[in-house]
Amino acid sequence: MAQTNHKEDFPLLASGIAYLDNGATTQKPLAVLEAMDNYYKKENANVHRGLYKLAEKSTEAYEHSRKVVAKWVGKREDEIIFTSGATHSLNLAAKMLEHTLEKEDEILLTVAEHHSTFVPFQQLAKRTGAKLIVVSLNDKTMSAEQINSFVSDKTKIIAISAMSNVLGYYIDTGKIKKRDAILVVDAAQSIKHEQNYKNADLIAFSAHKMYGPMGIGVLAGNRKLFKDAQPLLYGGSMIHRVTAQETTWADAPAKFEAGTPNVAAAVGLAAAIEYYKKHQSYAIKHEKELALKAYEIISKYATVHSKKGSPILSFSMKNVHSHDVAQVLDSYNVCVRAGQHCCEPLHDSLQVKETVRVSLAFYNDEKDLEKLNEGLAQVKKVFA
Amino acid sequence: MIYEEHILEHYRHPRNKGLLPNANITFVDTNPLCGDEITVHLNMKDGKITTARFEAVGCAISQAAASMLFEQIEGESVKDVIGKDKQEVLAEFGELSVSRIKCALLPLNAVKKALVTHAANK
Repeated sequence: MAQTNHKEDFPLLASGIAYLDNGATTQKPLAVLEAMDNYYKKENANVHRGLYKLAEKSTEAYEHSRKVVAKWVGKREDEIIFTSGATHSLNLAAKMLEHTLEKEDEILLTVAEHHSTFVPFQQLAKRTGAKLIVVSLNDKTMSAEQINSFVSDKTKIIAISAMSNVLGYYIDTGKIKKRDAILVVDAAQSIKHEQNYKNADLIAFSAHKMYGPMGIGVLAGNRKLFKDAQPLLYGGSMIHRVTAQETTWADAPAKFEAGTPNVAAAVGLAAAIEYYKKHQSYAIKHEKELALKAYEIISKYATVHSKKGSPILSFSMKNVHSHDVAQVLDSYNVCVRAGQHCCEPLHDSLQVKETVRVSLAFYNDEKDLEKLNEGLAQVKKVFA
Repeated sequence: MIYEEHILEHYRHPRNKGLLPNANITFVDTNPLCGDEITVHLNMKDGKITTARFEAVGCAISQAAASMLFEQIEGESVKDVIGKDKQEVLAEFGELSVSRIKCALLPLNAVKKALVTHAANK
């Protein structure tokens, strides 16, 4: 029989805390912590440099992680770039595509993008003279069809999150008719639910939102695109030859990985994938059931902006500020996010200043939701 | 408990909240963490604040802090308000976390910035 209490795998959850801020970061299972600990205790050396056995061990550990990631997202190993996280990945993506843009070209994104997509591509538009086209929401949700209606011959880049970190809707990026545009998918929230984005040219995600460590992320792409693209960072490991006046680049992925990488975190990411793969089918089913229950509870007290069934639930309580909601919930050991969740344009479009966000992970259970229920009842009592 | 009765009382019935047409100073400040915004209106005479009003939407902490502060600074000298110690504001609250300290200090910081900016533009 399948294991049902997955909280036991996560040391931090032993305190009994109801951790419902998984959209910000998830907790880490012991398997990930041990893999990283083991790397530092037994394999630590700089990669791609030393000629001694220990350095080779470290390089092997790093490249093995790349292999695990590649297999998981259906890519070749040389199509996986390690970054410091999704934000770095998306900034790199914007830099990579800069040379493809001309004045009057169009960059398409949606009003719901996280600032880590919104700002790099907004600034890219400013640098190149391209036009930024912002697709608005339809009844607090977004679909491939809605995006398709804005794609034209002038569209050169489409940059969108497959799952909104505020509203939690999922866009089937396979249905986006991108024509000649490059499709950049921010998969930070969706990667736990879906690993294959065949229609996407560049895919960005972080390890720490899928049970892995902070400080490592991925930009997955394709060889042709990588070949022509310029790097974002310069330094060691990313060069082919340096003379006093000129430098040529190494081949991808090295070209985009300047400096000493976070090897321990890469090892942790691979361990997180191996761990999560064992639980994924249960996780997806369990989160769906939990999401429905969470919606039922929250909607007793608040206006829920997310659709029923979404694993990310943002809501507003009448006449109570999100900070005050989160503060009272904290006194019940319930962790939620309050504010704008790095999505100012989205909150402007929803015509709310800020929201409270509950975001689920597969280790959450009904007890967590009971605590949430008690906490929300208290919020109502204090601020009624 | 952060939400002591006097805090909730100021939150529910804020003093000195509202518009001040033709104010000597009108200044807007925000807390980027939550997007809370406060508009400061001040009238001054002979180096003293004669009337202080604020317009804001925000959490109970920032609203109560604004209410208490704006009630207090009427009649105080510009110099004293610019030099006001943040502990004076924080003392009204129980234990505040790092992020909530920002909420409590938003009104004071906004008033200080308003006065300093005004002095610099003279």
